[in-house]
Amino acid sequence: MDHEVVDLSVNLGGLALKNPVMVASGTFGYGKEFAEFFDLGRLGAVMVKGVSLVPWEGNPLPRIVETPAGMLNAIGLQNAGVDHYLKEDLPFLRQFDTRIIVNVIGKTVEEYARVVERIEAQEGADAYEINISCPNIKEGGISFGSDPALAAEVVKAVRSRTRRPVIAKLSPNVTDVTEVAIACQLAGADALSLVNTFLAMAIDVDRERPVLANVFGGLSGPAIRPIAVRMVWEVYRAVDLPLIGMGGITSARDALEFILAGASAVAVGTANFTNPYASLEVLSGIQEAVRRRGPYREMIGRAHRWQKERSIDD
Amino acid sequence: MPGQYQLEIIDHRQVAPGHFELTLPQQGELARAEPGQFVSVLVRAPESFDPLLRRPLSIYRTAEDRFSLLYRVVGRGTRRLSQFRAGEALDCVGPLGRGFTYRDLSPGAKVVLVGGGVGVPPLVFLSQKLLQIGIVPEVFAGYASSEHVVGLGAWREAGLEPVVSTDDGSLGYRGYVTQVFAERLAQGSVERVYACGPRPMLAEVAALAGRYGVDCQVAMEEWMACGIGVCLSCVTKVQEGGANRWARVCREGPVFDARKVVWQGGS
Repeated sequence: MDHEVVDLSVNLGGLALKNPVMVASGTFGYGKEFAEFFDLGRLGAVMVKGVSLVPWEGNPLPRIVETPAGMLNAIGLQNAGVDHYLKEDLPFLRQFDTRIIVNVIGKTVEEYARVVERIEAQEGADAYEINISCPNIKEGGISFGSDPALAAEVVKAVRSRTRRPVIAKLSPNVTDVTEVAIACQLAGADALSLVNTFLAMAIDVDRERPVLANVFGGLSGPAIRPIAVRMVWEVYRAVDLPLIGMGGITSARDALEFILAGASAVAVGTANFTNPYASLEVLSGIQEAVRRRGPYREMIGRAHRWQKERSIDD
Repeated sequence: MPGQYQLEIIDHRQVAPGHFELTLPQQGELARAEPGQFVSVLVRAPESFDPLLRRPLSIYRTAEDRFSLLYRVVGRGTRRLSQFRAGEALDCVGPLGRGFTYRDLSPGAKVVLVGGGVGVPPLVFLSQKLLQIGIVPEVFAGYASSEHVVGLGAWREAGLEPVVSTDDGSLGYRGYVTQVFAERLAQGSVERVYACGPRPMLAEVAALAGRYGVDCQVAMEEWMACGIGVCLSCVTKVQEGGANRWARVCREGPVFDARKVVWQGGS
């Protein structure tokens, strides 16, 4: 048995992680429930559920529906607001030796900025993940993430409020994901998360109406993984920022797809719902891969070499 | 504390058309499960992602070394589950949720159980526990028809004689279980009511209990994704301190004080 400690540490635009395995925002709450299953200190980071300036009510029910190898959700970013996060959730999370990445949500640019100001005042985060998939109420509810200029505006506003790493979480619901990625890089993002859920819907054929009360929901789970991997591949080639890959990861092999496509770290999302130990299984599988294949950091983006090698052969 | 367990199926049989009882060995924390708590079961084949989500099933009855779950086949997940055979392993997470509160009752307390259809199983488990502490509950069970009857045998084995009603009158009283329950409440001397069944039935039971000033606990059901309290899919409105808020059925429930549940527009 090889007991050699494997170095999985990685730096994400200033955020030093002991390992590259995180849990995706919205699939892990604020850690309390999963702490009943394992020590959160084993994770590289916890991306907490989206935090807004004031409490958000969320959507009416039904909020979810199962789909082939996936699920749709339209929770509506229900959360108890930044003050509740700082008072109730942060002290709990701080007990664990892991990084806390606060997912920030807002309906205006100002709201994003004010959430970050509040958290900065209490040093309540190690990094920020900006969820630009929120509806922009000033622009009639279209998502910040679907327009490079709006996305950049949010990133800039947050950037000016903190020196901690700022991660933009990209929406996949765009024609060209590299446009928004480049805009976020220029606006000062330190890293990018990709991807958020895919806009989708399901219809109840018997009742002849949409299943979700919100009509549309976000598709997640193994069904989206190949599209998410493609987007990581594209963005890796377009920008010079560390990427956090997510979208349907259930195993270490799934995670390795993202890493080889160019992700410096990965996040386990929907799999947390069906296997509480999914993130730990991904971590031990990556450790195993590093033992067999060599240093972690050299694996990042290595699948791109294939194309270079092929062009040399040609 | 919940845990994840790989349990080898002891027995799996159809107990009524479309209804199955699944018997599993007691293991770890599951042996400490309380009535109203549930187990979430992975129903997909290994290496498959379909159906993706676990299915939450309430505990039906327990014995020293085993416990069972009773469910009705309603869709792809439960259909797939019904194909598992004795000897196969099942991936279970549990016990989950907050069960019924009953240890505060004194021996001989006047307790009424009201079950509707597939809401019967947790009440059978509750009866077991109540009998152990010297409480003989009065049981009211309602079903769509005689074909859908579950749990009656288990109650009778335990020496209880449930008052049965069916929507079509094929067994017992004709009509909803809430009608016979209302007559019983009117006679007085009920200390507590426990109910499980479809939401409209629970709303009616809660209203009746409220009218007579009787303590009432209801076990609720909503579509769940995670079953452990993080996804916020299965929320229901509850009233607390004069304000309404969403409570998670999987974690703060599935058992709620009926007075706290917002029955109108609460889901």
